[in-house]
Amino acid sequence: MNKRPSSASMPTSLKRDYVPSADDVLVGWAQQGDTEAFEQLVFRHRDKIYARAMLMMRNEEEALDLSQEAWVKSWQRLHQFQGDSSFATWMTRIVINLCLDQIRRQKKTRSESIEQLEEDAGGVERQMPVEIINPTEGLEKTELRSRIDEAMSKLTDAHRAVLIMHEFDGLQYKEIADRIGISIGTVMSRLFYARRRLASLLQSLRRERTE
Amino acid sequence: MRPLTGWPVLVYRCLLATLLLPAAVLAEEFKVEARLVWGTNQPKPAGKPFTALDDPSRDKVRQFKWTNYWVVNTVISPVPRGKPQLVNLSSKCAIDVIDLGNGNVEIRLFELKEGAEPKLVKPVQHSRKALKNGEYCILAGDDKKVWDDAWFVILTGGR
Amino acid sequence: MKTETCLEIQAYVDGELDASRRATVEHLCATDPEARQLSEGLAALRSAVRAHEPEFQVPETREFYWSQIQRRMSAASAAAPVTVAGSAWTQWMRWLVPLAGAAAVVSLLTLPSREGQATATLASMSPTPAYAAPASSIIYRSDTDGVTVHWIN
Repeated sequence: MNKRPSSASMPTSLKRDYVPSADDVLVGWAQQGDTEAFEQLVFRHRDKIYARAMLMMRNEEEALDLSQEAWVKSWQRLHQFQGDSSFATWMTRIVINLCLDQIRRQKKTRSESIEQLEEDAGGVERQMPVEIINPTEGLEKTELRSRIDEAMSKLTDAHRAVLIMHEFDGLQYKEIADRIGISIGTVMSRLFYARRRLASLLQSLRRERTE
Repeated sequence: MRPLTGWPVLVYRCLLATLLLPAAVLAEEFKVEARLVWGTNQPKPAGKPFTALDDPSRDKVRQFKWTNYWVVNTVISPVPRGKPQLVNLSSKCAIDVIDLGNGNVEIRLFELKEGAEPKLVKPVQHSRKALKNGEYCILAGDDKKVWDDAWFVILTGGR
Repeated sequence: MKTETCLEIQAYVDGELDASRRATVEHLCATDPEARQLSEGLAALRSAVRAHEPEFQVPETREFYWSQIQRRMSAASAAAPVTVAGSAWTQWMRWLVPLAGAAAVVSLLTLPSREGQATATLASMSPTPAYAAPASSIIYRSDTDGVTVHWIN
Protein backbone atom coordinates (compact mmCIF):
# COMPACT_ATOMS: atom_id res chain seq x y z
CA MET A 1 0.00 0.00 0.00
CA ASN A 2 1.34 3.45 -0.85
CA LYS A 3 2.20 5.74 1.97
CA ARG A 4 -0.23 8.59 1.85
CA PRO A 5 -1.12 11.35 4.23
CA SER A 6 -3.89 10.33 6.56
CA SER A 7 -5.94 12.71 8.62
CA ALA A 8 -3.88 11.74 11.64
CA SER A 9 -0.85 13.55 10.21
CA MET A 10 -2.80 16.66 9.24
CA PRO A 11 -2.77 19.88 11.20
CA THR A 12 -5.76 20.12 13.55
CA SER A 13 -7.13 23.07 11.55
CA LEU A 14 -7.47 20.77 8.52
CA LYS A 15 -8.94 17.84 10.46
CA ARG A 16 -11.76 16.39 8.42
CA ASP A 17 -15.19 15.68 9.76
CA TYR A 18 -16.00 12.28 8.28
CA VAL A 19 -19.22 11.26 9.94
CA PRO A 20 -21.55 13.92 8.49
CA SER A 21 -19.79 14.06 5.10
CA ALA A 22 -21.58 12.78 2.02
CA ASP A 23 -20.27 9.74 0.13
CA ASP A 24 -18.91 11.78 -2.78
CA VAL A 25 -16.90 13.96 -0.40
CA LEU A 26 -15.49 10.91 1.36
CA VAL A 27 -14.67 9.33 -1.99
CA GLY A 28 -12.82 12.49 -3.01
CA TRP A 29 -10.74 12.37 0.16
CA ALA A 30 -10.15 8.66 -0.18
CA GLN A 31 -8.97 9.21 -3.76
CA GLN A 32 -6.31 11.46 -2.28
CA GLY A 33 -5.22 8.57 -0.09
CA ASP A 34 -7.18 9.31 3.08
CA THR A 35 -7.76 5.87 4.62
CA GLU A 36 -9.97 7.25 7.38
CA ALA A 37 -12.39 8.58 4.76
CA PHE A 38 -12.34 5.15 3.18
CA GLU A 39 -12.95 3.51 6.54
CA GLN A 40 -16.02 5.69 6.96
CA LEU A 41 -17.29 4.48 3.56
CA VAL A 42 -16.69 0.87 4.64
CA PHE A 43 -18.57 1.48 7.87
CA ARG A 44 -21.49 3.03 6.01
CA HIS A 45 -21.94 0.40 3.34
CA ARG A 46 -20.44 -2.76 4.81
CA ASP A 47 -23.78 -4.43 5.58
CA LYS A 48 -25.16 -3.79 2.11
CA ILE A 49 -22.05 -5.14 0.41
CA TYR A 50 -21.91 -8.14 2.72
CA ALA A 51 -25.64 -8.76 2.19
CA ARG A 52 -25.17 -8.80 -1.57
CA ALA A 53 -22.34 -11.34 -1.26
CA MET A 54 -24.40 -13.38 1.18
CA LEU A 55 -27.40 -13.39 -1.16
CA MET A 56 -25.24 -14.58 -4.03
CA MET A 57 -23.12 -17.15 -2.21
CA ARG A 58 -25.44 -18.32 0.61
CA ASN A 59 -22.38 -18.96 2.74
CA GLU A 60 -21.26 -16.70 5.58
CA GLU A 61 -17.55 -17.40 5.31
CA GLU A 62 -17.42 -16.87 1.57
CA ALA A 63 -19.57 -13.76 1.83
CA LEU A 64 -17.23 -12.25 4.43
CA ASP A 65 -14.16 -13.04 2.37
CA LEU A 66 -15.63 -11.71 -0.88
CA SER A 67 -17.04 -8.56 0.70
CA GLN A 68 -13.63 -7.76 2.18
CA GLU A 69 -11.99 -8.49 -1.15
CA ALA A 70 -14.46 -6.09 -2.78
CA TRP A 71 -13.37 -3.31 -0.42
CA VAL A 72 -9.71 -3.96 -1.21
CA LYS A 73 -10.47 -3.92 -4.95
CA SER A 74 -12.41 -0.70 -4.62
CA TRP A 75 -9.49 0.94 -2.77
CA GLN A 76 -7.17 -0.12 -5.57
CA ARG A 77 -9.52 1.17 -8.26
CA LEU A 78 -10.83 4.22 -6.51
CA HIS A 79 -9.18 6.49 -9.08
CA GLN A 80 -11.43 4.89 -11.72
CA PHE A 81 -14.59 5.95 -9.93
CA GLN A 82 -15.97 8.90 -11.83
CA GLY A 83 -19.23 9.37 -9.97
CA ASP A 84 -21.41 8.19 -12.91
CA SER A 85 -23.36 6.10 -10.42
CA SER A 86 -23.54 6.29 -6.64
CA PHE A 87 -20.60 4.89 -4.70
CA ALA A 88 -22.86 2.19 -3.23
CA THR A 89 -23.93 1.07 -6.73
CA TRP A 90 -20.30 1.01 -7.89
CA MET A 91 -19.31 -1.06 -4.84
CA THR A 92 -22.21 -3.44 -5.35
CA ARG A 93 -21.08 -4.12 -8.88
CA ILE A 94 -17.57 -4.92 -7.70
CA VAL A 95 -18.81 -7.44 -5.15
CA ILE A 96 -21.25 -9.00 -7.64
CA ASN A 97 -18.40 -9.47 -10.14
CA LEU A 98 -16.27 -11.15 -7.48
CA CYS A 99 -19.17 -13.46 -6.60
CA LEU A 100 -19.72 -14.35 -10.26
CA ASP A 101 -16.02 -15.19 -10.62
CA GLN A 102 -16.20 -17.34 -7.51
CA ILE A 103 -19.29 -19.17 -8.75
CA ARG A 104 -17.58 -19.81 -12.10
CA ARG A 105 -14.53 -21.21 -10.31
CA GLN A 106 -16.70 -23.49 -8.20
CA LYS A 107 -18.65 -24.67 -11.24
CA LYS A 108 -15.42 -25.96 -12.78
CA THR A 109 -14.73 -28.22 -9.87
CA ARG A 110 -18.17 -28.97 -8.50
CA SER A 111 -20.50 -31.30 -10.31
CA GLU A 112 -24.05 -30.58 -9.28
CA SER A 113 -26.18 -33.54 -8.35
CA ILE A 114 -28.73 -34.77 -10.78
CA GLU A 115 -31.44 -34.00 -8.26
CA GLN A 116 -30.78 -30.32 -8.89
CA LEU A 117 -31.56 -30.78 -12.52
CA GLU A 118 -35.24 -30.87 -11.79
CA GLU A 119 -35.05 -27.40 -10.37
CA ASP A 120 -32.78 -25.99 -13.00
CA ALA A 121 -34.70 -27.28 -15.95
CA GLY A 122 -37.86 -25.81 -14.57
CA GLY A 123 -38.76 -29.18 -13.07
CA VAL A 124 -42.24 -29.54 -11.73
CA GLU A 125 -42.98 -25.89 -12.43
CA ARG A 126 -42.54 -26.53 -16.13
CA GLN A 127 -45.66 -28.59 -16.09
CA MET A 128 -47.74 -26.28 -14.00
CA PRO A 129 -49.98 -23.79 -15.74
CA VAL A 130 -48.26 -20.47 -16.31
CA GLU A 131 -49.68 -18.90 -13.22
CA ILE A 132 -47.98 -16.53 -10.85
CA ILE A 133 -50.23 -15.46 -8.01
CA ASN A 134 -49.59 -12.34 -5.98
CA PRO A 135 -47.27 -13.70 -3.28
CA THR A 136 -47.76 -10.75 -0.92
CA GLU A 137 -51.31 -11.72 -0.05
CA GLY A 138 -51.70 -12.70 3.57
CA LEU A 139 -48.07 -12.24 4.54
CA GLU A 140 -46.58 -9.68 6.91
CA LYS A 141 -43.73 -7.50 5.65
CA THR A 142 -41.02 -9.07 7.83
CA GLU A 143 -42.32 -12.53 7.18
CA LEU A 144 -42.37 -11.94 3.45
CA ARG A 145 -38.76 -10.75 3.56
CA SER A 146 -37.59 -13.91 5.30
CA ARG A 147 -39.68 -16.06 2.97
CA ILE A 148 -38.20 -14.39 -0.08
CA ASP A 149 -34.77 -15.04 1.40
CA GLU A 150 -35.63 -18.67 2.08
CA ALA A 151 -37.04 -19.14 -1.41
CA MET A 152 -34.02 -17.47 -3.01
CA SER A 153 -31.70 -19.83 -1.17
CA LYS A 154 -33.41 -22.71 -2.97
CA LEU A 155 -32.66 -21.35 -6.43
CA THR A 156 -29.59 -22.50 -8.31
CA ASP A 157 -26.61 -20.11 -8.47
CA ALA A 158 -27.33 -19.35 -12.12
CA HIS A 159 -30.95 -18.40 -11.51
CA ARG A 160 -30.29 -16.54 -8.30
CA ALA A 161 -27.51 -14.43 -9.84
CA VAL A 162 -29.75 -13.24 -12.67
CA LEU A 163 -32.60 -12.49 -10.28
CA ILE A 164 -30.40 -10.52 -7.86
CA MET A 165 -28.78 -8.50 -10.64
CA HIS A 166 -32.14 -7.69 -12.15
CA GLU A 167 -34.28 -7.05 -9.08
CA PHE A 168 -31.82 -5.60 -6.60
CA ASP A 169 -29.21 -4.00 -8.83
CA GLY A 170 -31.73 -2.84 -11.40
CA LEU A 171 -29.65 -4.07 -14.32
CA GLN A 172 -31.20 -4.39 -17.78
CA TYR A 173 -31.21 -7.72 -19.61
CA LYS A 174 -28.30 -6.67 -21.83
CA GLU A 175 -26.14 -5.54 -18.92
CA ILE A 176 -26.72 -8.87 -17.16
CA ALA A 177 -25.96 -10.79 -20.35
CA ASP A 178 -22.70 -8.89 -20.84
CA ARG A 179 -21.57 -9.36 -17.27
CA ILE A 180 -22.32 -13.07 -17.02
CA GLY A 181 -21.34 -13.83 -20.59
CA ILE A 182 -24.62 -15.35 -21.75
CA SER A 183 -27.16 -14.34 -24.38
CA ILE A 184 -30.08 -12.00 -23.67
CA GLY A 185 -32.40 -14.93 -24.44
CA THR A 186 -30.74 -16.99 -21.71
CA VAL A 187 -31.07 -14.09 -19.27
CA MET A 188 -34.79 -13.90 -20.09
CA SER A 189 -35.41 -17.60 -19.68
CA ARG A 190 -33.35 -17.86 -16.48
CA LEU A 191 -35.20 -14.89 -15.03
CA PHE A 192 -38.54 -16.41 -15.96
CA TYR A 193 -37.70 -19.81 -14.46
CA ALA A 194 -36.35 -18.09 -11.35
CA ARG A 195 -39.55 -16.09 -10.93
CA ARG A 196 -41.80 -19.07 -11.47
CA ARG A 197 -39.77 -21.06 -9.01
CA LEU A 198 -39.83 -18.20 -6.51
CA ALA A 199 -43.59 -17.76 -6.90
CA SER A 200 -44.12 -21.48 -6.50
CA LEU A 201 -41.92 -21.62 -3.37
CA LEU A 202 -43.67 -18.61 -1.86
CA GLN A 203 -47.02 -20.20 -2.54
CA SER A 204 -46.02 -23.47 -0.92
CA LEU A 205 -44.61 -21.60 2.08
CA ARG A 206 -47.90 -19.75 2.38
CA ARG A 207 -49.81 -23.02 2.16
CA GLU A 208 -47.67 -24.48 4.96
CA ARG A 209 -48.49 -21.44 7.07
CA THR A 210 -52.23 -21.72 6.57
CA GLU A 211 -52.36 -25.47 7.20
CA MET B 1 3.64 -86.63 -39.29
CA ARG B 2 3.40 -87.02 -35.60
CA PRO B 3 1.08 -84.43 -34.09
CA LEU B 4 2.66 -81.92 -31.75
CA THR B 5 1.97 -82.41 -28.08
CA GLY B 6 3.09 -80.92 -24.79
CA TRP B 7 5.00 -77.63 -24.56
CA PRO B 8 5.51 -77.14 -28.33
CA VAL B 9 1.72 -76.88 -28.62
CA LEU B 10 1.66 -74.31 -25.84
CA VAL B 11 4.38 -72.22 -27.51
CA TYR B 12 2.57 -72.44 -30.84
CA ARG B 13 -0.68 -71.29 -29.31
CA CYS B 14 1.00 -68.42 -27.49
CA LEU B 15 2.65 -67.26 -30.71
CA LEU B 16 -0.64 -67.43 -32.52
CA ALA B 17 -2.37 -65.46 -29.79
CA THR B 18 0.38 -62.82 -29.82
CA LEU B 19 -0.04 -62.38 -33.56
CA LEU B 20 -3.80 -62.38 -33.63
CA LEU B 21 -4.63 -60.37 -30.51
CA PRO B 22 -3.66 -56.91 -31.86
CA ALA B 23 -5.63 -57.63 -35.00
CA ALA B 24 -8.66 -58.55 -32.93
CA VAL B 25 -8.30 -55.40 -30.83
CA LEU B 26 -7.95 -53.21 -33.90
CA ALA B 27 -10.94 -54.85 -35.51
CA GLU B 28 -13.14 -53.87 -32.59
CA GLU B 29 -14.15 -50.44 -33.78
CA PHE B 30 -15.91 -48.46 -31.06
CA LYS B 31 -19.26 -46.98 -31.96
CA VAL B 32 -21.82 -44.98 -30.03
CA GLU B 33 -25.54 -45.08 -30.34
CA ALA B 34 -27.21 -41.67 -30.42
CA ARG B 35 -30.94 -41.29 -29.95
CA LEU B 36 -32.83 -38.07 -30.57
CA VAL B 37 -35.66 -38.00 -28.05
CA TRP B 38 -38.55 -35.60 -27.67
CA GLY B 39 -39.70 -35.02 -24.08
CA THR B 40 -43.33 -33.96 -23.97
CA ASN B 41 -46.71 -34.44 -22.32
CA GLN B 42 -48.30 -34.77 -25.70
CA PRO B 43 -49.34 -38.12 -27.18
CA LYS B 44 -47.56 -39.51 -30.20
CA PRO B 45 -48.53 -37.46 -33.25
CA ALA B 46 -50.55 -39.48 -35.75
CA GLY B 47 -48.61 -40.82 -38.69
CA LYS B 48 -45.18 -40.33 -37.12
CA PRO B 49 -42.90 -43.35 -36.77
CA PHE B 50 -41.82 -42.41 -33.25
CA THR B 51 -41.29 -45.12 -30.64
CA ALA B 52 -41.43 -44.88 -26.88
CA LEU B 53 -38.10 -44.73 -25.06
CA ASP B 54 -37.19 -48.11 -23.55
CA ASP B 55 -37.63 -48.59 -19.80
CA PRO B 56 -33.94 -48.69 -18.78
CA SER B 57 -33.36 -45.40 -20.58
CA ARG B 58 -36.53 -43.90 -19.11
CA ASP B 59 -35.17 -44.74 -15.70
CA LYS B 60 -32.06 -42.72 -16.47
CA VAL B 61 -34.13 -39.63 -17.18
CA ARG B 62 -36.58 -40.15 -14.34
CA GLN B 63 -35.55 -36.83 -12.80
CA PHE B 64 -37.44 -35.16 -15.60
CA LYS B 65 -41.20 -34.99 -15.37
CA TRP B 66 -42.39 -35.42 -18.89
CA THR B 67 -45.03 -38.07 -19.50
CA ASN B 68 -43.71 -39.17 -22.84
CA TYR B 69 -40.30 -39.58 -24.36
CA TRP B 70 -40.59 -40.24 -28.06
CA VAL B 71 -37.55 -41.57 -29.86
CA VAL B 72 -37.46 -39.55 -33.05
CA ASN B 73 -34.36 -41.15 -34.55
CA THR B 74 -31.58 -43.56 -33.67
CA VAL B 75 -28.20 -43.58 -35.35
CA ILE B 76 -24.95 -45.39 -34.80
CA SER B 77 -21.97 -43.10 -34.99
CA PRO B 78 -18.40 -44.31 -35.47
CA VAL B 79 -15.77 -42.98 -33.06
CA PRO B 80 -12.61 -42.59 -35.14
CA ARG B 81 -9.25 -41.40 -33.88
CA GLY B 82 -8.89 -39.18 -36.92
CA LYS B 83 -11.36 -37.05 -38.81
CA PRO B 84 -14.85 -37.27 -37.30
CA GLN B 85 -17.86 -38.01 -39.43
CA LEU B 86 -20.96 -35.82 -39.19
CA VAL B 87 -24.08 -37.92 -38.57
CA ASN B 88 -27.50 -36.33 -38.98
CA LEU B 89 -30.04 -36.94 -36.22
CA SER B 90 -32.73 -34.85 -37.91
CA SER B 91 -32.93 -32.14 -40.53
CA LYS B 92 -32.05 -29.68 -37.77
CA CYS B 93 -29.29 -31.34 -35.78
CA ALA B 94 -26.29 -33.58 -36.19
CA ILE B 95 -23.44 -34.91 -34.10
CA ASP B 96 -19.91 -36.05 -34.62
CA VAL B 97 -17.84 -38.11 -32.22
CA ILE B 98 -14.08 -38.42 -32.05
CA ASP B 99 -11.75 -40.50 -29.90
CA LEU B 100 -9.35 -38.00 -28.32
CA GLY B 101 -6.84 -40.75 -27.56
CA ASN B 102 -6.55 -39.78 -23.89
CA GLY B 103 -9.33 -42.08 -22.72
CA ASN B 104 -12.03 -39.57 -23.61
CA VAL B 105 -14.31 -39.15 -26.57
CA GLU B 106 -15.58 -35.77 -27.67
CA ILE B 107 -19.17 -35.43 -28.81
CA ARG B 108 -20.06 -32.30 -30.74
CA LEU B 109 -23.62 -31.20 -31.34
CA PHE B 110 -24.36 -29.15 -34.46
CA GLU B 111 -27.35 -27.15 -35.61
CA LEU B 112 -28.21 -27.63 -39.27
CA LYS B 113 -29.66 -24.98 -41.53
CA GLU B 114 -30.32 -25.30 -45.21
CA GLY B 115 -27.64 -23.68 -47.32
CA ALA B 116 -25.40 -22.99 -44.32
CA GLU B 117 -22.45 -24.72 -42.74
CA PRO B 118 -23.30 -26.81 -39.65
CA LYS B 119 -23.12 -24.56 -36.61
CA LEU B 120 -21.40 -25.96 -33.52
CA VAL B 121 -23.73 -25.79 -30.53
CA LYS B 122 -21.86 -27.69 -27.87
CA PRO B 123 -18.79 -29.91 -27.54
CA VAL B 124 -18.70 -32.25 -24.53
CA GLN B 125 -16.25 -34.90 -23.43
CA HIS B 126 -16.93 -38.24 -21.82
CA SER B 127 -14.85 -41.20 -20.72
CA ARG B 128 -14.63 -43.79 -23.51
CA LYS B 129 -14.45 -46.60 -21.00
CA ALA B 130 -17.49 -45.35 -19.11
CA LEU B 131 -19.53 -45.22 -22.32
CA LYS B 132 -18.39 -48.73 -23.19
CA ASN B 133 -19.45 -49.86 -19.73
CA GLY B 134 -22.97 -48.60 -20.28
CA GLU B 135 -22.90 -45.04 -18.96
CA TYR B 136 -25.20 -42.48 -20.48
CA CYS B 137 -24.05 -39.12 -21.77
CA ILE B 138 -27.05 -36.89 -22.43
CA LEU B 139 -27.23 -33.52 -24.11
CA ALA B 140 -30.54 -31.79 -23.57
CA GLY B 141 -32.28 -28.45 -23.74
CA ASP B 142 -35.56 -26.63 -24.03
CA ASP B 143 -37.58 -26.90 -27.17
CA LYS B 144 -37.40 -23.45 -28.73
CA LYS B 145 -40.80 -23.77 -30.35
CA VAL B 146 -43.03 -25.43 -27.78
CA TRP B 147 -43.31 -24.34 -24.17
CA ASP B 148 -42.70 -27.21 -21.74
CA ASP B 149 -41.16 -29.54 -24.28
CA ALA B 150 -37.53 -30.51 -24.47
CA TRP B 151 -35.16 -32.48 -26.67
CA PHE B 152 -32.57 -35.01 -25.61
CA VAL B 153 -29.65 -36.60 -27.42
CA ILE B 154 -28.94 -39.79 -25.50
CA LEU B 155 -25.55 -41.34 -26.18
CA THR B 156 -24.55 -44.81 -25.10
CA GLY B 157 -21.71 -47.09 -26.02
CA GLY B 158 -23.44 -48.98 -28.80
CA ARG B 159 -25.62 -51.88 -27.77
CA MET C 1 -48.87 -20.41 -23.91
CA LYS C 2 -45.66 -20.48 -25.93
CA THR C 3 -42.32 -19.77 -24.27
CA GLU C 4 -41.76 -16.76 -26.49
CA THR C 5 -45.08 -15.23 -25.43
CA CYS C 6 -44.30 -15.73 -21.74
CA LEU C 7 -40.89 -14.14 -22.16
CA GLU C 8 -42.37 -11.27 -24.17
CA ILE C 9 -44.87 -10.58 -21.38
CA GLN C 10 -42.06 -10.69 -18.85
CA ALA C 11 -40.00 -8.25 -20.97
CA TYR C 12 -43.06 -5.99 -21.06
CA VAL C 13 -43.35 -6.06 -17.25
CA ASP C 14 -39.62 -5.32 -16.98
CA GLY C 15 -39.88 -2.34 -19.32
CA GLU C 16 -37.59 -3.88 -21.90
CA LEU C 17 -39.80 -3.51 -24.97
CA ASP C 18 -39.96 -0.78 -27.58
CA ALA C 19 -43.24 1.02 -28.29
CA SER C 20 -44.54 -1.31 -30.98
CA ARG C 21 -43.84 -4.56 -29.08
CA ARG C 22 -45.28 -2.96 -25.96
CA ALA C 23 -48.49 -2.19 -27.83
CA THR C 24 -48.68 -5.80 -29.06
CA VAL C 25 -48.38 -7.18 -25.52
CA GLU C 26 -50.89 -4.66 -24.19
CA HIS C 27 -53.35 -5.79 -26.83
CA LEU C 28 -52.70 -9.43 -25.96
CA CYS C 29 -53.26 -8.78 -22.26
CA ALA C 30 -56.48 -6.93 -23.03
CA THR C 31 -57.86 -9.85 -25.02
CA ASP C 32 -56.34 -12.94 -23.40
CA PRO C 33 -57.13 -13.55 -19.69
CA GLU C 34 -54.20 -15.98 -19.33
CA ALA C 35 -51.76 -13.38 -20.65
CA ARG C 36 -53.26 -10.73 -18.40
CA GLN C 37 -52.97 -12.98 -15.35
CA LEU C 38 -49.33 -13.71 -16.12
CA SER C 39 -48.55 -10.03 -16.60
CA GLU C 40 -50.23 -9.07 -13.33
CA GLY C 41 -48.63 -11.96 -11.45
CA LEU C 42 -45.16 -11.08 -12.70
CA ALA C 43 -45.63 -7.40 -11.82
CA ALA C 44 -46.81 -8.29 -8.30
CA LEU C 45 -43.92 -10.67 -7.75
CA ARG C 46 -41.43 -8.14 -9.09
CA SER C 47 -42.56 -5.37 -6.77
CA ALA C 48 -42.83 -7.74 -3.79
CA VAL C 49 -39.27 -8.99 -4.29
CA ARG C 50 -37.86 -5.50 -4.86
CA ALA C 51 -39.53 -4.15 -1.75
CA HIS C 52 -38.33 -7.00 0.44
CA GLU C 53 -34.67 -7.46 -0.33
CA PRO C 54 -33.29 -9.87 2.27
CA GLU C 55 -31.05 -8.12 4.79
CA PHE C 56 -27.83 -9.40 6.34
CA GLN C 57 -25.43 -7.78 8.76
CA VAL C 58 -21.70 -8.32 8.90
CA PRO C 59 -21.25 -10.83 11.74
CA GLU C 60 -18.13 -9.06 13.05
CA THR C 61 -17.46 -5.84 14.91
CA ARG C 62 -16.71 -2.74 12.88
CA GLU C 63 -13.14 -2.61 14.17
CA PHE C 64 -12.36 -6.25 13.44
CA TYR C 65 -13.91 -6.11 9.97
CA TRP C 66 -11.96 -2.96 9.12
CA SER C 67 -8.71 -4.34 10.53
CA GLN C 68 -9.00 -7.36 8.22
CA ILE C 69 -9.59 -5.11 5.22
CA GLN C 70 -6.66 -2.92 6.22
CA ARG C 71 -4.42 -5.97 6.47
CA ARG C 72 -5.44 -7.08 2.99
CA MET C 73 -4.98 -3.58 1.63
CA SER C 74 -1.45 -3.55 3.01
CA ALA C 75 -0.75 -6.94 1.52
CA ALA C 76 -1.94 -5.87 -1.92
CA SER C 77 1.17 -4.45 -3.54
CA ALA C 78 -0.65 -2.49 -6.20
CA ALA C 79 -3.00 -0.58 -3.93
CA ALA C 80 -2.94 2.75 -5.70
CA PRO C 81 -6.07 4.86 -5.74
CA VAL C 82 -3.97 7.78 -6.94
CA THR C 83 -2.28 7.17 -10.27
CA VAL C 84 1.41 7.66 -9.77
CA ALA C 85 3.80 7.60 -12.70
CA GLY C 86 6.25 4.81 -11.92
CA SER C 87 9.88 4.44 -12.81
CA ALA C 88 10.95 2.76 -16.03
CA TRP C 89 11.63 -0.42 -14.02
CA THR C 90 8.08 -0.30 -12.54
CA GLN C 91 6.63 0.14 -16.03
CA TRP C 92 8.63 -2.88 -17.25
CA MET C 93 7.58 -4.95 -14.25
CA ARG C 94 3.92 -4.21 -15.01
CA TRP C 95 4.36 -6.23 -18.20
CA LEU C 96 6.99 -8.68 -17.06
CA VAL C 97 5.15 -10.02 -14.03
CA PRO C 98 1.99 -11.16 -15.90
CA LEU C 99 4.16 -12.48 -18.75
CA ALA C 100 6.29 -14.49 -16.33
CA GLY C 101 3.12 -15.82 -14.69
CA ALA C 102 1.68 -16.82 -18.05
CA ALA C 103 4.96 -18.51 -19.01
CA ALA C 104 4.93 -20.46 -15.76
CA VAL C 105 1.38 -21.67 -16.40
CA VAL C 106 2.21 -22.66 -19.98
CA SER C 107 5.28 -24.56 -18.75
CA LEU C 108 3.20 -26.41 -16.19
CA LEU C 109 0.67 -27.43 -18.80
CA THR C 110 3.17 -28.49 -21.44
CA LEU C 111 6.05 -30.08 -19.54
CA PRO C 112 5.84 -33.84 -19.93
CA SER C 113 4.99 -35.55 -16.67
CA ARG C 114 6.50 -38.90 -15.75
CA GLU C 115 3.17 -40.64 -15.61
CA GLY C 116 1.55 -38.42 -18.19
CA GLN C 117 -1.28 -37.96 -15.72
CA ALA C 118 -0.65 -34.51 -14.31
CA THR C 119 -0.65 -32.99 -17.75
CA ALA C 120 -3.83 -34.75 -18.72
CA THR C 121 -5.55 -33.68 -15.52
CA LEU C 122 -4.58 -30.05 -15.92
CA ALA C 123 -5.48 -29.98 -19.58
CA SER C 124 -8.84 -31.65 -19.08
CA MET C 125 -9.79 -29.16 -16.40
CA SER C 126 -9.44 -26.18 -18.70
CA PRO C 127 -12.27 -25.30 -21.07
CA THR C 128 -11.90 -26.53 -24.64
CA PRO C 129 -10.31 -23.58 -26.40
CA ALA C 130 -10.81 -24.60 -30.00
CA TYR C 131 -14.35 -23.34 -30.38
CA ALA C 132 -15.70 -19.85 -30.56
CA ALA C 133 -18.25 -19.33 -27.79
CA PRO C 134 -20.31 -22.54 -27.81
CA ALA C 135 -23.57 -22.56 -25.90
CA SER C 136 -23.31 -22.54 -22.12
CA SER C 137 -24.56 -25.54 -20.22
CA ILE C 138 -25.03 -26.86 -16.73
CA ILE C 139 -23.60 -30.30 -16.04
CA TYR C 140 -25.25 -32.83 -13.76
CA ARG C 141 -23.81 -36.13 -12.79
CA SER C 142 -25.13 -39.14 -10.94
CA ASP C 143 -22.52 -41.80 -10.25
CA THR C 144 -25.08 -44.29 -9.00
CA ASP C 145 -27.16 -43.99 -12.17
CA GLY C 146 -24.15 -43.67 -14.46
CA VAL C 147 -25.64 -40.61 -16.12
CA THR C 148 -24.20 -37.26 -17.10
CA VAL C 149 -26.58 -34.63 -18.41
CA HIS C 150 -25.43 -31.46 -20.15
CA TRP C 151 -28.39 -29.11 -20.02
CA ILE C 152 -27.73 -26.60 -22.76
CA ASN C 153 -29.04 -23.07 -22.16
